[in-house]
Amino acid sequence: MIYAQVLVDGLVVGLIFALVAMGLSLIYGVMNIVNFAHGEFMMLAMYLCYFLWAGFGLDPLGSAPVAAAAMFALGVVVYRLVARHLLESSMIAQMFATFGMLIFFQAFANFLWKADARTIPDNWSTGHFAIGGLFFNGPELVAGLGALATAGALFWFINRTETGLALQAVAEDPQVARLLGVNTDRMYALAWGLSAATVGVAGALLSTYLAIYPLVGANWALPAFVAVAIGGFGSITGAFWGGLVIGVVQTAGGFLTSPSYKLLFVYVLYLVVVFVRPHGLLGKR
Amino acid sequence: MTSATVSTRAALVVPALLVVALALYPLAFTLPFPRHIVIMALLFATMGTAWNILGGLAGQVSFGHALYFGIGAYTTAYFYKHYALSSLVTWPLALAISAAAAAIIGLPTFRLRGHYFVLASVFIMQAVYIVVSNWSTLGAAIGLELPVHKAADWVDAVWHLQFHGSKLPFYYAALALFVAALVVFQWIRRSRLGLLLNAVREEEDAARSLGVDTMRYKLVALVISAAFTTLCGMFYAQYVLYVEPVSTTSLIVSVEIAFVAIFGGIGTLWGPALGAFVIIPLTELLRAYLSGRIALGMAGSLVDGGVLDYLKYYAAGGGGQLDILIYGLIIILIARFQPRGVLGFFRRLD
Repeated sequence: MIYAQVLVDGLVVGLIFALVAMGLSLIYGVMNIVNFAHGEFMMLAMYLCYFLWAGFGLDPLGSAPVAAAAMFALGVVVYRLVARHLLESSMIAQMFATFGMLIFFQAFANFLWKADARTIPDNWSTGHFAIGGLFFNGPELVAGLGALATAGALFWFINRTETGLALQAVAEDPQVARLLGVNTDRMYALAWGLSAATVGVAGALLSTYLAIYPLVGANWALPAFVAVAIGGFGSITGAFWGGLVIGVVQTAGGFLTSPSYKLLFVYVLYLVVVFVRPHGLLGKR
Repeated sequence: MTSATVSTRAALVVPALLVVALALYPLAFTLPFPRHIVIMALLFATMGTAWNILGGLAGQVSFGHALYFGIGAYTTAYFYKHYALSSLVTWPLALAISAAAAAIIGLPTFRLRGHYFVLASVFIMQAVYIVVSNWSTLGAAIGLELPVHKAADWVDAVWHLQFHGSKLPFYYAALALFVAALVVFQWIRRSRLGLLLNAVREEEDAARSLGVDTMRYKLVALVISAAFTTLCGMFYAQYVLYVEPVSTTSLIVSVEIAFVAIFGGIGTLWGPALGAFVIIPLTELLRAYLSGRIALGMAGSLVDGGVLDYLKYYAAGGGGQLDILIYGLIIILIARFQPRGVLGFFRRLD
């Protein structure tokens, strides 16, 4: 029974990793850029929810749409100011630019709000309950389900709307997409906006039960890269499944050893996956 | 006299003058702080040059070099703390561990290309960070402190590698490391190994199809690069007398090492030194100024109320990090506007 509990806990947190990883994979798929600053959008969204709660008493779950909109805007700004100019750059320049953004946003948060952790003590989802012998923590379950719903919405948008299909066309072959009349620049901006918005929602969901501090994002975005690698770089669906896998792996690893080692298992998993299948477990090529 | 001999002569005279200037610097600047800044710049110039052997010559971009820095720092700290053996004695052990780690990591990861390789270096770095910051033998997150030794005479001081009266011995040790790294880098670049590494960087598949054992040369480049980085780690531990995970085996330190090379110009001889001598003094001065530990003599005139006072108030308040904010901004600006590094402008200097 304890293993069933570990599995379920892993899947619940895996849904969050899945949502974070889908946004990463979206940018990688469309622009072939590894965005190290992905987790920083999440961290900023968490602070936004905190201040909306502290200043106006808004429930962080109610703030999720605000966080999504704000991060969408920030994602587009980051694209316009930085990412757009990296399209033709070397991989090294691209990686340094996004790593520079990681350092910049973390220091920015540290500078304005200090390193102290902040918490939102409770919201409407606070509480514990049991279903059939399995225990659930209210905020964690709500966050997992919220991530699942957001992932579903992103999936629907990308596969069922004309804009989403245009985005996929750009990911497949930007030159052909341009010939077909797709404005690739707008699609790139949209990819950054959507990526930041979805990880912003993840931040809002996590702010209901996690401590908020400047480095919080990296603990989610770096493992999410492993999910992207497992799912095959650039595959949105693969990233989702990869997120569930690393959720279970880190929860089981933490359970079997000590919670401070849980991410170690995720990083080792990356190495195992790329050594066995250099293009990802579900990847093609 | 042909222009070729002029440029050959310049290629020897200019570096020689630079080294002489660096050797004379501590005689002109006798206060500890100006010496400390150049010691740190020399340390990062050495590590950037070492990184450049792998990243610049072989084209293998590693975000994990702090691992080798940590191997040097922790080996020194552990054996000095428990057995009072300084790195004068333990350096062969540290270099052996460094070479073993390089082989263990290089053999599997050098099969990977592009993003996969870089991310592997990131995750190995993260994994090592988790292990080190939980490993009680290495002091876990708190780290290891090297006991201070009051030397009886200079022989005793050299045996313990502890010089507290003056930073001069550390300064010249750092300068020697830096010159050695430059010489080795240039020697590799001009040798057959350099040609083979160039082939690995430009056309790995073609090189392999011609029968070049690319794995072997990448490993050689990594072991040499790691060895210099490990020596820097040993130097750092003896110099600072305190070793902990965030400032030694973290991803951020790895990026700092790589960035001095990127800033100056990847693959160039003088690029990492240029990067280190711009970035390190800038951040060190900014940090010192903002935390108010030294008076630059212009505090009164520069900060006259208003926005700057506000900034300074925040920056001084413990978690400030304005220096890191500016550091992040510099990385973004270089990657965005001058991705080939500052020396990308002045190719002739190289």
